[in-house]
Amino acid sequence: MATEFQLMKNPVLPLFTHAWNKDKTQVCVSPGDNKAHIYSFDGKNYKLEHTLEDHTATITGIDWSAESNDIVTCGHDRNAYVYCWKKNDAGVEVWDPKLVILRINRAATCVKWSPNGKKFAVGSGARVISVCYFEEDNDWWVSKHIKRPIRSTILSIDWHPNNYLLAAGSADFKCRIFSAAVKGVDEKNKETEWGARKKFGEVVQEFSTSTAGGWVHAVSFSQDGTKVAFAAHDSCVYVVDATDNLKMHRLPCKALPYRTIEWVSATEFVAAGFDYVPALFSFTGALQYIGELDTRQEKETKSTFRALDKFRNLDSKGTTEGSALKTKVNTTHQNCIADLQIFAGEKGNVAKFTTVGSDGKIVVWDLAAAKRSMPSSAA
Amino acid sequence: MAKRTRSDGFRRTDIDKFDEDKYHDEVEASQVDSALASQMQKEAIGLLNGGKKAEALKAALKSPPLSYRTAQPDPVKVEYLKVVLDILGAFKSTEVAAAVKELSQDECDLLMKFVYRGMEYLARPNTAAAKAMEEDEARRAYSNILLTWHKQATEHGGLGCVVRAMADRKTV
Repeated sequence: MATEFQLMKNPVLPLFTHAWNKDKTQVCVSPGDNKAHIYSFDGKNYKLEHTLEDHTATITGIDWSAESNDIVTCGHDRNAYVYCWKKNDAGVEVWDPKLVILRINRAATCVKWSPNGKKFAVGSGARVISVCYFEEDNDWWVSKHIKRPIRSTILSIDWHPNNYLLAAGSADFKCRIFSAAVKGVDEKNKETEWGARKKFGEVVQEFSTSTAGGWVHAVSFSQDGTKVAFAAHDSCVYVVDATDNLKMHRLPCKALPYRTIEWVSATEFVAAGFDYVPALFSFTGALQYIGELDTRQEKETKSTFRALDKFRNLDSKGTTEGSALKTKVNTTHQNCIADLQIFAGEKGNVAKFTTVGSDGKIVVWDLAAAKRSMPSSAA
Repeated sequence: MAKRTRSDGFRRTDIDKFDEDKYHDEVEASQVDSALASQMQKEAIGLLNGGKKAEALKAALKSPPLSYRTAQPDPVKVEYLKVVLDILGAFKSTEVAAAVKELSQDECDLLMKFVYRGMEYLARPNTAAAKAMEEDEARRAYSNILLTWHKQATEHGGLGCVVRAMADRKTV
């Protein structure tokens, strides 16, 4: 049910973010440095195709637009690059970078294309969200700032399907919904289920994690945009339902906090993070924890050099016991999960999704199969 | 070559003080309701003296004073903590598991906060919060039982419970 690929090996490097192209044949990842690698994937093997080397510091966010096929990256160097696949002067097709000046004085943390691929939003440590759009006349990406009332770093962003509402999770313990309608780019924004029509940069709604303890790691709009789910560092997941008087539901979890969240159906969402395993939740008027999607099977550590291991262990750990030899945990991911992307299906109707984590693995999860083998599915 | 000094004072310098973008908690919301706290405190002490330990714990966790941490500990919160420590200390280590099972998730989170706060209060004489320690030798014996409470609360509430107790800006 879960197929794992050790993407970053020799040495193993962590993956913090990844992005698929529209037909899921290529994936763009960054191993925590200033390079982004594009791998092609045929279902079995990964092959390195291109390396994008324009950033001068760690890349923190990557997104690949399904509409325009453009890649956007952002990083600690306070810049963003938009890459277009086109012919260069020599007539060879390459990823052509275009620098986007975000006008921020702290690192950029996350980036997301709007669903129609005409705008993207970049969250940053400068307590600002830069909403960027392309100006044809100047051949230039312009950035507009959303400033108020953000009081700390933006950690996560997600677009409403209408392309002009933006949800942002922040380290000031709040999840906010902003109006990000840009004149000339968007059709005229209307009143939505989230509230009255607002000008660019104004807050439409603000939700506080109920105790003052959770910087909001991840946020996701449901497919129809009527619900927003967010996960915070107080190990809670929250859902706000706009069709039910903006009522906020909170569910304290037993697991460690979640760093990424995505709706897989109209009533279910998956969250994953510091606990190494993705967890499934349902929301049908009430918020419910369903279970882990990983069966946590004990892995056998095959060792051909038993005697050698024994002495090595005696040397490094001071014990000859077999259990000390075990260097693997019983989960598919061997470290924190950092990011989750849809692999088959679309938002609200997901068949497969992929996760990457600090162990340098990319894992493809088959949702239906994972649900069947869920330990609590019998209950 | 730079000379290596043994001084580590710089590690304790509050450099964030000079950051104009520093995050400040919403101070106006940090006032605790001292009347409610003392009322709950009395109720809990009454139950404890009546031998109803589990009820006393529930009563103490109903609406404890919560506020953002301040340089000088809020005396209302310190008094409340002492009462909770007395309640926690009244349990035998064999009774703790059963008592924790009776708690809801939110109560368990609060219990965890008191456990951590209690450990700090009993252990670190260099903080202002623990200055009261001088005359609090009597409660020092509770350190041991706090570890039992921590173990049982972790089993009941999971690691999420520990994270909530640590990450929350509003402390008991």
